[in-house]
Amino acid sequence: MGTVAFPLRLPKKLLQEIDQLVKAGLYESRSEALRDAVRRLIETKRLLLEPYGYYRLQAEEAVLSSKIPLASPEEVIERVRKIREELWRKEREYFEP
Amino acid sequence: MSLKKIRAYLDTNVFIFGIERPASDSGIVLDLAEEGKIVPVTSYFTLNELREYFARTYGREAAINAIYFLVSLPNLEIVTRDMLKQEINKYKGIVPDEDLPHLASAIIARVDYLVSYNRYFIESNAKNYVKTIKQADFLEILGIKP
Repeated sequence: MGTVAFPLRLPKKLLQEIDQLVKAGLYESRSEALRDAVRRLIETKRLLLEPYGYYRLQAEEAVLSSKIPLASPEEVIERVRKIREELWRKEREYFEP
Repeated sequence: MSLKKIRAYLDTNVFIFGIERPASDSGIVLDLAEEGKIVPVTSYFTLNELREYFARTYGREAAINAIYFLVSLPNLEIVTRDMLKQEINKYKGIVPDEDLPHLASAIIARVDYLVSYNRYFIESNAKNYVKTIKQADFLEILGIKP
């Protein structure tokens, strides 16, 4: 993916703090530190603007990273049925007339 | 003039399939809910089932994210346990008891469709109370899939 350069004005103090992070070895360069900061900013703001998109992605990533083979639709329905029966057994009394 | 949005009760399997298989019909239904193109309706029971399924299959973090996803959907309506208590027994016997909270929730919320892959909804008399359809048929009605 290509990159684009653009002028950026920062308070000296902030730049010094970024340089400290680079010096400490957390980032290889100022650019890398700023890219990471921008990525985190976008992630945070996206959470505020579209929380459903953020959480859906997190849930999807949890499924992918688990490396558990996906069950067939019929198996999923069967698992949900067992859960449904269990939960109903716990709740049934509350709904009795 | 604004068009009335379709109100759809989304059964637990819509959320599970949609998260596990983002490109599936269920995934597209969830896209529509995210985009505010339908009014998603769900219930206290869906939240519990979704939590249990994801916690047991993929762990606590996945369950939390799945629940947060559901409750943060735009225009979401949730039928609460108390709302159900007042009405649920009117519909006893139409579907297996464990499915009853979902059918009753869909009826109480006056949805246009109950969307589910669950054959007990599709093949039962539930259709005399609410239009019960599978995900693919729902998308066809919306003109999204042929």
